[in-house]
Amino acid sequence: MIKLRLSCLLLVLFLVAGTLPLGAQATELNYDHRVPGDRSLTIQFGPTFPQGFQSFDGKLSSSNLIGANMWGIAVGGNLGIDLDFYLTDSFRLGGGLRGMAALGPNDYTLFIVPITFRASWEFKLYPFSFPVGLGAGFSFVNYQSQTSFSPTLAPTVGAYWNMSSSWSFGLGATEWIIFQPYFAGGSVPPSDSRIGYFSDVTLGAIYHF
Amino acid sequence: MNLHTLLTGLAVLVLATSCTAGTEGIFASIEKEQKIVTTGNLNTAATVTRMAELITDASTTPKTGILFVSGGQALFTKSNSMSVGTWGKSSVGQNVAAVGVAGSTVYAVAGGELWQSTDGSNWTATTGLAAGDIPYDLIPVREADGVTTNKLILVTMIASTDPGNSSVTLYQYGRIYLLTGTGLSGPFTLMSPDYTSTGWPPSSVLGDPVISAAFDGSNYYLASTSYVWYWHSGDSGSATSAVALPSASLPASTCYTGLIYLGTVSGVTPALYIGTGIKSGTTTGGSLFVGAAAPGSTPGSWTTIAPGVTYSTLPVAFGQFLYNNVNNSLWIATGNTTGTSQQGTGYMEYSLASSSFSTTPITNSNNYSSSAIPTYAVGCLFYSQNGFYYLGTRAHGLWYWNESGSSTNPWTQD
Repeated sequence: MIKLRLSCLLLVLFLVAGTLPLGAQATELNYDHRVPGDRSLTIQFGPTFPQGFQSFDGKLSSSNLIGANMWGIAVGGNLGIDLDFYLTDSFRLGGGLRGMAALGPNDYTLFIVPITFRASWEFKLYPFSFPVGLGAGFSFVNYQSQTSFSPTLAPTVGAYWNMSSSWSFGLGATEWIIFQPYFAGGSVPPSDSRIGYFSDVTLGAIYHF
Repeated sequence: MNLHTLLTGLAVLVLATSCTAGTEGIFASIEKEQKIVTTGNLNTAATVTRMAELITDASTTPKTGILFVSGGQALFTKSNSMSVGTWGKSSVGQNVAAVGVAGSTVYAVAGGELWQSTDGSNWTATTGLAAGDIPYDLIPVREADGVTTNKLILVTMIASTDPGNSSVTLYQYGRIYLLTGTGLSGPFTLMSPDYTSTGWPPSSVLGDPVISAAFDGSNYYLASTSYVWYWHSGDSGSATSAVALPSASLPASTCYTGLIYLGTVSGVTPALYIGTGIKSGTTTGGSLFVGAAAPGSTPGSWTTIAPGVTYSTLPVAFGQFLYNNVNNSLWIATGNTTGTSQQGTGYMEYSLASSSFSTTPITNSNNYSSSAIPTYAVGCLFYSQNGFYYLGTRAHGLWYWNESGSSTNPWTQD
């Protein structure tokens, strides 16, 4: 009987001892530390929501706003890839290429290809991280026979689950603010100057390397 | 990379800001874009302001052709084989403001651009317009027979900032192009002959669009709402002004509504006919002026023909005259509109045989089937080589009148 009790005690001790390394490993996973030089590659896709146009005097267009009438630009889609470089554990710089497409009032396709450089800060709450960033760059905008090259701002937020130190999955949202200013003397009259607003929500996968 | 290089690179990018290949801002053009009606035919409530016909085979009798109808939305088409009430659509673009045929080319103003096609299906953008010119309308140029149209006047707008208020954009008319069987020429600038102010419109450029045009075989007559012009063919190639028509007997302050030159109509003395209307809030105008003029000359005097007691006022019309070879008469599109004092008649008929307006004026009581018609302006009058006269209304569809059919109740909706 005594032998039996001793055996059980040893077994328990053995099991407890056996779990200690597991506990130590879990502790290591509690925090994915990024160091300068670490990179992340993000692939994302999702719907794009055209919101409307605004002239530079602040006047919002009364037409073509989603929900304002049935003749507006339809909800479109986007696909993008970002490459970022960590400068600190939480701060990274990078750039992204995005392709967006949406159908206009008569089903002509509006293509927007923004190329932006972005600074992001990551708030972390293991196992999640919440990047907040601001991108700036230019967008190639094409509609029917017209193409423009327009300055662009893109504030972005996201929420990602860090599945491992190499892979994260989550959601991102970006507001695309695309400026089309025109000046006297050009082929396009200044009265055609507009700011276009588009937002997207994306499913994203981030590979850290 | 040093700071200087970086700043230089940024400066280059800024200079490249919003480069757009085209004459319209992309977002602005989408904002203005109207949805093309994709279902149904040219309906009973359609607006028809321009018609044209492209002859595709002149060897048949009648000639084989395609009719085009525009009025602000889709470009409707009808081939010879299509029955009454059936129309197709051509995908020239959105918001088709006007259509017309010059020679063997059909032109359309759609989405603020000028397009051209030789088959009515495949469209290409017309090049050659001056920077900043926004196509606005196509005015058919009636030949001296009062019926056919072989040339077009392209009316353009230029957007510019109000000199008195930099936040306001004004659209200025005044430049035109001529479209003939050989293509586009211009721009030609119509200068206001008596405009002296340095304000708007700038540079004394005419501020209202050409609404009607006729051709006497070598020279053009143009009417805007404020002036009538005699445009010598020698002015072709010039970017300067046309010459205002001698206006000694014409009312000094009125609203011109349209004109036609009849020079080759059998039994009719060559003459220019000019309609005047009522400017909003005034009582001037409302007459038909006739000035006899041999081809290549201008009338030396004018005869005024008042429409009569019943139609003592011709409301503002929309620039369309058409010779009716069945009745030997002129059809004159008239307005509109709201309010009983300027109640329109749809159109009026002036008998060339009796030099008077028809005693049985064409109103809602007879030839149209609907009493609602006179409250809508007539947008265009057109004669097809298939023997049909067409009358396009603003908001009440398109009507046809078969010259070989009954004369008692001729108008049928197409």
